[in-house]
Amino acid sequence: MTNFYDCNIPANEKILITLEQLGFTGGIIFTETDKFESEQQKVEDLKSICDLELYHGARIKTTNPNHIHKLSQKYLNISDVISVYGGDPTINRIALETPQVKILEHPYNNKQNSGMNHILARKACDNNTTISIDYMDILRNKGYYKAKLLNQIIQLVLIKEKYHFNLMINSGTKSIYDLRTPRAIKILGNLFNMTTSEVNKSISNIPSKVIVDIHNKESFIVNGVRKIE
Amino acid sequence: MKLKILPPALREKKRYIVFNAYSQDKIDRKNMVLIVWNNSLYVHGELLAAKINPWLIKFDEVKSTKTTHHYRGIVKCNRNYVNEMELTLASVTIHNNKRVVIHPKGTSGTIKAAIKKFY
Repeated sequence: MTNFYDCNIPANEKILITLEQLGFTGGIIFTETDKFESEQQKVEDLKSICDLELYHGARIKTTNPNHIHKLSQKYLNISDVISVYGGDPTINRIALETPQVKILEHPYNNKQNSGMNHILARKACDNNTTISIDYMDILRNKGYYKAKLLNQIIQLVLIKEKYHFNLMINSGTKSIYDLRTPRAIKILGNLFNMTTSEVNKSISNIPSKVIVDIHNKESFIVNGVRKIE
Repeated sequence: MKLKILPPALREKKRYIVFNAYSQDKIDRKNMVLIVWNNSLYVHGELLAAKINPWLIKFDEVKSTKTTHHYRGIVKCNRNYVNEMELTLASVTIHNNKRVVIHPKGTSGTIKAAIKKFY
């Protein structure tokens, strides 16, 4: 049986219960770094409410690229995983160069391009950073903005096919009406020219790798060296 | 004069898609037809929406609470455009300023089998 994960969910009881009903196995709850400590207890309480495999990640959302290094060092041991809110080209670059950052969220969040080029793609492969797409970014918009955004994501998928970095599809949900079944997400992949098997990997295999890295974090010493007990 | 029914070889080949729908406000059958058609036109354009040829067969209410209304239904489409029809259903987000979500459950060649397996 395939395990499906949604790696961009808020700390909301109704959303977690709906996610479990729709067939998901687990997810990562991301909180901004300025509210992280205050939400830790809430996330611990939510883990006991449903049978989902839940993890708590810290999201770095900043306009100053220098903060990314500082915050990633600070939250490396406190949170399960660190992600950066992408969009600005400088932020995207610094995030992909920082080995502590595991996920770069919507690098296409600018008005010009997909946010990734051949250089950033290689950095993503070298540092094992996962790029994530939120399908609600597309569905929330209409008309010109939707078409522009779709075009940027299609370019991102093209670069991914050439350089083979990890690409993950999440919901970016804010309410239960934003959630979709895994079957519906596989169909939504047609919007950005991904095949069903590629979308299947993006919602099951790639998030599984991120979760395996979370479990192996304690035994990790340097890149390529791991403690075995 | 009523048109004669086409011979089986010339008839449009169809598939039936069963879905679950959840909304913040009550939806009747007429509104559901509007949702399906408008979203089809919006996502695919006039030409492809014409080729898909969506048709709402069944639409029932399952459960209603103060905040959420749960419906289920069956929609018919052209056999060659099942993916496009499911994409239309999956990308519905809003109707009359109220949130709506549609989850396609499965596809079948006949209404009887669709009801038996997925309804």
